[in-house]
Amino acid sequence: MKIFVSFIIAALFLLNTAEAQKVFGTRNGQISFSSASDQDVKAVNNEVASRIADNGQITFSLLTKGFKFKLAEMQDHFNDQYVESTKFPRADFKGTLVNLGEVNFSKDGAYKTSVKGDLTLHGVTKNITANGTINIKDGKPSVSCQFILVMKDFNIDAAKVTDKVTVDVSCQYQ
Amino acid sequence: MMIFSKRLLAVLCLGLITQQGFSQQVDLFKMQDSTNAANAKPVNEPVINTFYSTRLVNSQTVEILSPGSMDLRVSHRFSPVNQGIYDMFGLDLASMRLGFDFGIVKDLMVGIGRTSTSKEYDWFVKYRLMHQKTGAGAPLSIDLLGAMAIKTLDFGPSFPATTSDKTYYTAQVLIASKLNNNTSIQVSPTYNRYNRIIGFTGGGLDMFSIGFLARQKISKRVSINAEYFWQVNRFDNTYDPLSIGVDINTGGHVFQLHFTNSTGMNEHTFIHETTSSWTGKNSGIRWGFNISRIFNIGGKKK
Repeated sequence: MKIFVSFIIAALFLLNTAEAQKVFGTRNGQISFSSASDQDVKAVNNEVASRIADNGQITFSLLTKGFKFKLAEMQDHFNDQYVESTKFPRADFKGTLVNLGEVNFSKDGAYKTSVKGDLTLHGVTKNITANGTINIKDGKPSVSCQFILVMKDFNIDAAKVTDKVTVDVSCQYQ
Repeated sequence: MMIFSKRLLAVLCLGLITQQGFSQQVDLFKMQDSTNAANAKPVNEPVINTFYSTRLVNSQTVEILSPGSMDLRVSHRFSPVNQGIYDMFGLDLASMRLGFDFGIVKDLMVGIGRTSTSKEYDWFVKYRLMHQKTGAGAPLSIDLLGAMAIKTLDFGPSFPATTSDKTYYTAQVLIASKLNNNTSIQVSPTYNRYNRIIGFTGGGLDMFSIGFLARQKISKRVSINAEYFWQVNRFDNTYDPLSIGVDINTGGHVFQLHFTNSTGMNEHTFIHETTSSWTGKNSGIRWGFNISRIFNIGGKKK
């Protein structure tokens, strides 16, 4: 009987493993930003670490030094004076899909969605909401979304250059 | 058998609870925190903005323009402030230098300039030998500077001087350290070569000096600077140049305002040909400014 019980416990553990939630990740997601008021303000970061799980959680992590500008001087100013990359090297986002029920991770298709969560940038954490799309293809999700980021909200003193930027997110998960 | 069934039920319940526990264990937020903590190793990368610009007042700093950038530099040194209101405290008379600097490749820049005083042309090459890093390995930035200047002022038939006589060479080692986010210092051993000494006595054809530069940031965009050159050997009646100034960095433009006792803006003139002092009977403190505007002229396409 003891063997039988052990077998049941083992089976339950196996069952647990099989039913664990699906987590998708990438280490080279893309986040770019640009300003409508100054066309030189344009940078892209291709080394964004991101994860998404079918429980609706989504996270993004990046190093602000990873943003590449066309103008090297502007990149220096961005790191040194605006986001202060030495002091605050990282930007993080922890969010949840608002309409998880409408997204089926195991069925191919494009799902309009909205994500809400905490963005930490320049040492300031702020709750933001962004609208985007989740595409499921061959069981692998990809996300794209766009939102406006107001410099003042994150204590970034860039008024001389631009007061807000449009952020584009594009990640293909494995 | 009944007992076993009860046990079985208990195990099943336990299993279900465990399963519940397992389901909750997938927490991306915690995963992110732990990944971030694991990746939070100290970064070791080149320090940026040791100084706001490639010059502090007159002297070169360790800063090198990035490739494809052009720096248009307009510099003015006025007459002594103590001339009074008649000369508008020196503003009526100015010595001016117009310069164009270019970032060629990583760690290498060149520049050309023209100064109104003595109708002087100058050019230089500056190469970064070592770039200070935020972590271990390189506590200093070290640059090498080679410069040449030619005075084209015609001294008249009574004082014949060839172009070679009016040519000057400078070799300088720039050693700087960004001590923290706000404070940077630099020491610059300097050698100036004169082909012929014109207008001065004493000294020699080979002139040596050591420069001391310091910058203290007082806000993100404003710094207070000081620059002093100690002359190892000197011409008669010349003084060591001392300048105190303010940098205002607007991003793209750097405005440098300063008080100095030197009129020259090239190495041999400001270090060895400064004839006014800060105090005493030859005192002549002047106001001066540099404006630096950086343009992106080539290299990378959009």
